[in-house]
Amino acid sequence: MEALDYLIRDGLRAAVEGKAPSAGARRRLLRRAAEQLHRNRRWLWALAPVVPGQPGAWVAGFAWAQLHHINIQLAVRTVAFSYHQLR
Amino acid sequence: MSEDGALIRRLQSGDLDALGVLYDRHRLTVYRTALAITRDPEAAEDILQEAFLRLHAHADHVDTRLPLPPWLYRITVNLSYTWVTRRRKWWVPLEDFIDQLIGPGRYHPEPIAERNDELRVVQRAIEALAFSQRVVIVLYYLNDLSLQEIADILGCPVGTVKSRLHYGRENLRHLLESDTAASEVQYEFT
Repeated sequence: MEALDYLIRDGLRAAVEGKAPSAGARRRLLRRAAEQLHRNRRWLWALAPVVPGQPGAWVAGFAWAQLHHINIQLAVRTVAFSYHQLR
Repeated sequence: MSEDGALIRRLQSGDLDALGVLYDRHRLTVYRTALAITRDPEAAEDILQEAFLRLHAHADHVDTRLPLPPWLYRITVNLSYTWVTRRRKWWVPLEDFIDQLIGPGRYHPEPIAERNDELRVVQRAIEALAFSQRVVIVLYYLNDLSLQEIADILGCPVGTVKSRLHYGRENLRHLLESDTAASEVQYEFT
């Protein structure tokens, strides 16, 4: 390694040495993750009766497309994708 | 299965304690990488939070047979990129304006040890690099990753990583030389 390499490495290490996230960061993360989980479960609960199979995704997607005047295929794919993401 | 793999399995079944343990194991790596790229402690903390929230949201898609750090590095780099590009629009002009008001003395508020001064100059020079070069420099020199590992994280060929590292080093050399020359001129006139 050249002198420049050592300088770059030492400069980067000095910039972050001893630095750490704040004490409350872990608690905030877990609270937000719990909210995320809760939100997903609410959606799953709402979608569960219709989505688990492909016909379910079609029923939910068709209803959504009718309500919002959007492309049926796109709505069906979005519903199926969202359901699998949430699981 | 690795310890991380077992924790991700627990996370996939909705165990938030596993997320806490994963956070404890990797928080410093993610935080310090984000800090080295953004040079902003608040942004680094936001990126850290968002990276682990994404791990929680996408735990099902994480391959438990593979090591977790490359996945976390990829998310950290992507989030840092978003932060840097958004910030550029609003903050850089403001920073330039403040620089004009305060002048170059901003970085040297008081006499400090020569070595620290040298390291600060290096840090400023790294900050001035293009994002793609800065990321490779940080992953290579701070995180001690190999060229192949960096290529896997960034999703590009090893040759591209080599080239970014080479040009990043050359740009740093150039920036450091010009900074040294500028300091010498300053000393001449003071």
